[in-house]
Amino acid sequence: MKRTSLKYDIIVVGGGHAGVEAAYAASKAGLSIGLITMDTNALARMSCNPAIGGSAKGQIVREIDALGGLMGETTDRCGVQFKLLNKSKGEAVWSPRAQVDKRKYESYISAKIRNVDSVDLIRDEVVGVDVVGNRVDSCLLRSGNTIYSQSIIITSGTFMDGLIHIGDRKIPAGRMGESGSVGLTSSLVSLGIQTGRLKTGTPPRLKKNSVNWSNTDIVFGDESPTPFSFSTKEFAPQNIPCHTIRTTDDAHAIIKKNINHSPLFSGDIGGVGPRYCPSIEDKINRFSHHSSHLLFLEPEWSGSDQIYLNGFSTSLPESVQIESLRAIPGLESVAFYRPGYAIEYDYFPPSQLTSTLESKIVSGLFFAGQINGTSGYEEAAAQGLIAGINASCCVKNIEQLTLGREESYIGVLIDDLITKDTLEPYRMFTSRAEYRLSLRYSNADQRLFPYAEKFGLSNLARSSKHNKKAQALKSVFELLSKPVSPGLINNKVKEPTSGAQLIKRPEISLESFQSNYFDVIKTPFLEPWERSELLHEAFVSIKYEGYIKRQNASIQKNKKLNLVKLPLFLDYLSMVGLSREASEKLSSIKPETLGQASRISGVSPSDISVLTVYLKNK
Amino acid sequence: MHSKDTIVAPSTPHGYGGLAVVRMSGDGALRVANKLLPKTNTTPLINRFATTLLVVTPDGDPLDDVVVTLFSGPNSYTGEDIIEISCHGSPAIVSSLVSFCVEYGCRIADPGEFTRRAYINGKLDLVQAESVASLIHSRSLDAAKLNVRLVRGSLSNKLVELRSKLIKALSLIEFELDVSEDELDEERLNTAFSLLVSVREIFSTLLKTYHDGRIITSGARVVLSGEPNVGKSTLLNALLGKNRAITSDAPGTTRDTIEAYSVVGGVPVCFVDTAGIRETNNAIESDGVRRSIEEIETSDFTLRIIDNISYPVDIINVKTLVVLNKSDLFSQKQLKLFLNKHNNVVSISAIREQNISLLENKILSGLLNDKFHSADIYLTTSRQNSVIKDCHGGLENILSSWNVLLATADVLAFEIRDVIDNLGFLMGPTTPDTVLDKVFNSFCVGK
Ligand SMILES: Cc1cc2nc3c(=O)[nH]c(=O)nc-3n(C[C@H](O)[C@H](O)[C@H](O)COP(=O)(O)OP(=O)(O)OC[C@H]3O[C@@H](n4cnc5c(N)ncnc54)[C@H](O)[C@@H]3O)c2cc1C
Ligand SMILES: Nc1nc2c(ncn2[C@@H]2O[C@H](COP(=O)(O)OP(=O)(O)O)[C@@H](O)[C@H]2O)c(=O)[nH]1
Ligand SMILES: [Mg+2]
Repeated sequence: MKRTSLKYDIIVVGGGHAGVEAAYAASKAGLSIGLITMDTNALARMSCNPAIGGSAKGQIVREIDALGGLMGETTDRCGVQFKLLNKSKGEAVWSPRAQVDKRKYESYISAKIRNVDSVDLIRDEVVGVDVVGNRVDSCLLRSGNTIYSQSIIITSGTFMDGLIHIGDRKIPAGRMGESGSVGLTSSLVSLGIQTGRLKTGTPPRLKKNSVNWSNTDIVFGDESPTPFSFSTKEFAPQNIPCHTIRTTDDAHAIIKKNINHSPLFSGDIGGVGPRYCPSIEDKINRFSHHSSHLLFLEPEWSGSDQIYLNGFSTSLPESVQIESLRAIPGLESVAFYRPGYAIEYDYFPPSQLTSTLESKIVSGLFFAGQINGTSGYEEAAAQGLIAGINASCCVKNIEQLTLGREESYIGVLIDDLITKDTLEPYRMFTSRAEYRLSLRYSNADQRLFPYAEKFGLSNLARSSKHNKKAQALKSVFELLSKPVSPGLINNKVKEPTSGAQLIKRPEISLESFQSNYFDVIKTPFLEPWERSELLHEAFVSIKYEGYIKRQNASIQKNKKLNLVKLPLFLDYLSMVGLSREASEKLSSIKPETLGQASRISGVSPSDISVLTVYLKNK
Repeated sequence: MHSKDTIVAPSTPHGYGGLAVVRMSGDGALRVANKLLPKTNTTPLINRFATTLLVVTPDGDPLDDVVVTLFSGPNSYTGEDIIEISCHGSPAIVSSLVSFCVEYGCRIADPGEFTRRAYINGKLDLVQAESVASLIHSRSLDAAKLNVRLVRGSLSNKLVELRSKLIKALSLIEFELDVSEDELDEERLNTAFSLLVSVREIFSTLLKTYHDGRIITSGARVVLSGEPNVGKSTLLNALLGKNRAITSDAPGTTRDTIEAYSVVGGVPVCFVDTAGIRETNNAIESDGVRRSIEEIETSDFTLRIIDNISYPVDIINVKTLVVLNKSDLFSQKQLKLFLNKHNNVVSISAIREQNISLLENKILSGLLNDKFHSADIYLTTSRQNSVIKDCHGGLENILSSWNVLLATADVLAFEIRDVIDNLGFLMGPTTPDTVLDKVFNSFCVGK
């Protein structure tokens, strides 16, 4: 057992996906870190579905990995089924996903964290934060202890005043089986921080042997799986199947009949839930023309007897959940380990944060994860990572990290959080990224490696591999700039044309090149999957070159706007020429740059010109 | 502390008249208006009620009996509080009123600032705002009618409708990219395709209206060209006399040409008489000829006037009409023979004002694709035209390479988004949230 000291360079509150990444990233800066969490045996617990990645989220995990985070390598070690989504829809949206063994995931991360000497794991509940002047100074714990730090990262997830709903049953909790956190919200509110209420839900967990599996369809993962981490070697994961089953009219009828017992419809739940992750009662109510919905039966760990029923998130009374499921062939005698439920919790509208995730009014106070109004492990982990990096820069008093929208999904995530209104829990989608075509899973390392180096998140092995890989990529481009001899390409080519020109033709795919065409590129330092990804990456960047060039004008324009700093406390209300809505939004959000201002809804291009003129005349 | 400045300006032209209107807009408008009234005044200003009141100088001396109307924001032209004061139309009263308003805290409005504020506060979009200026400067009833329709949002509403179709199409594609984990859905793609086709059709219909829209609202230049003495000036008078328009000599611009404004079939026309320009076949070096040629090239239509039936009529050009003048000097038989041979020629007698209506009709047909102005909506500015042209071109591209693009739906989405972004130059930008909203609200998502 490590001893806990009374003072740390950085305190991380919460050991969820955000908290562990924050602590791990910050520890790389050689600082002392106190990770305080309510249950030290539940680090990086997956509260909901046993899966990591997927559309847009897979890209985020790759970015986390490129910046030295834990999520990618952990998923590669603990995944039980891997799939590259969207293979038929254009390379920019190819997204890796994995079904994960939840238990292994927790224990892998737990071991990682416990192995870092400079991180102290403290089992306690933070009930208050104190400031000196406007800088954080200490945390007050449930045990009565006080721990001091000049930098505190709050990552308390769904736990703040958490309230579980199952029908009209209400249980105060952080998630099922764990108690909620009470007191911290009001302490933060007394510091001037605003709070709101959101809601999310989870489906029931079934007993494996209560399902008649012959009524389900089987889905396997990819035969050649795609991992998440650029460090993963000799990747040969399991390929455990998931199963699918469809809801029936009878099941819908039972839900419809009982819909008033759902707290979503009875008005018991005030918090807003995500539209993209609707409960089954919501789906049936809003899309009554769909006679059936697809459900996935996913094992929660390998050899698991507990089955996660993806697609059946609900807060109906347990009896209704059971009754309606039993109307589905295959689930006639279904039994639960635990019912589905909804949870309401406090969050802190993230427009109160700067792009480094620090509070605009309390310095040294960082926020990351679900409490910023997001949803999802990947979104939480990404923020934790950035908050961890920036809190350590803050302690060392060096320049902090803000990623651009044009270079990463993480940049899009944080920029959206701090400039948009949170009307529902925020989940990443590829369509949120206006420069989606350049933000590919396969170039995450190239995009972000310079930051990993600059902020000390890389290591020697990674650096050397990255450099060799960049060299190899260059050789591929060189090879492709030369004429291709007709024998090496499967399609008919009349004149000698360069590989690059060929690739721009729609009918040419990577497979059009004979397999030995790329033999001259030697990559013994790459795993087989990395080599094929490298070739694909070269191929796509040539294919999309024209489109990406078209984006550049807008990227440059936005970069310029992002460089223009706005004083945090401008008097927008008396600024002449702004629309009423813009001046109200601007004075409540207080953007840091003209670029951020331009992305606030209600702020129009003409408001931006007013601000530009104002800054010039100042 | 006072927020947002309040602007003031006379809204009627400078000069003497029965009435004049002074207008204020901004948070302080009501406060300033009350300062103009005598301290003893007890009549309150009520939203949208015209109230007869006495206004006084800062010293309390009576200035004028006026009618004051309050339009409370946000339901006003600018979206802010507006005060309109109708006073007697003396420049002295108007300028005193304005200067008192300034003394009480107003600022003199910049040109167009009321409309600018209306735009900033979302009362008008860009298309509407620019049509306000055109409406004020309308030189014919038809031009005014067309501009009013634009101000009232005919084009804007159409564009909103088109944009929502484009967003719908994009959201179908985004659903495939962001939500669906299955193969591309044939039916969804077909719906997107037909939406895009229907938008392209409307874009191309709109583009066809630009030529007429521009001519109707901005007016046309019609050049009268021909040898000296063929009767150009006489014809100009005939054309003007009939329409009782003001002739204006424009000496500053071109010494040798006369410009005169008139309205032909609802179209404001500037007739240019290339007076004194000698057109000969060999004197190309002549300055006058060069200028005449320039005039013809920059004009919308040219009347090539001749007075001789042995003149070789060889100019066949849609922008040019050959007019045989002095028909009164020829016999019926001669005329008939000539006109049968040259069926594009119109014969008139300028001096006797014969066939002038027919000529006008021909001018109108030459100027407009559709002289009955039967389209519901017209594009009127080159900005509108070039934006819609880009959008149309973008869609053409997408639709013609649809099958190729389907292999890379991410690029397809990029191209559709590009069209929507282009449309944003007319209507303001569309954010990714708008598209996601559509995805969430119209599809059942969530695995
Ligand atoms: C019922 C439910 C359903 C969900 N459904 C979905 C879904 O459908 N899709 C999806 O993408 N995501 C879903 N999630 C969200 C997902 O679990 C979270 O996004 C993710 O876990 C957030 O990570 P986090 O690190 O921010 O917080 P959490 O994982 O919630 O971790 C918070 C940590 O902070 C600790 N803590 C809290 N308060 C204190 C305190 N005062 N002092 C000390 N420690 C404290 C807790 O012990 C916990 O370890 C769901 C979550 C729940 C609970
Ligand atoms: N008989 C006849 N004479 C005309 C007619 N139109 C013009 N003229 C005469 O032609 C002469 C030249 O006319 P003018 O308008 O000055 O010609 P311009 O040099 O082309 O401008 C004048 O004497 C006019 O009276 C016409 O329709 N019939
Ligand atoms: Mg003349």
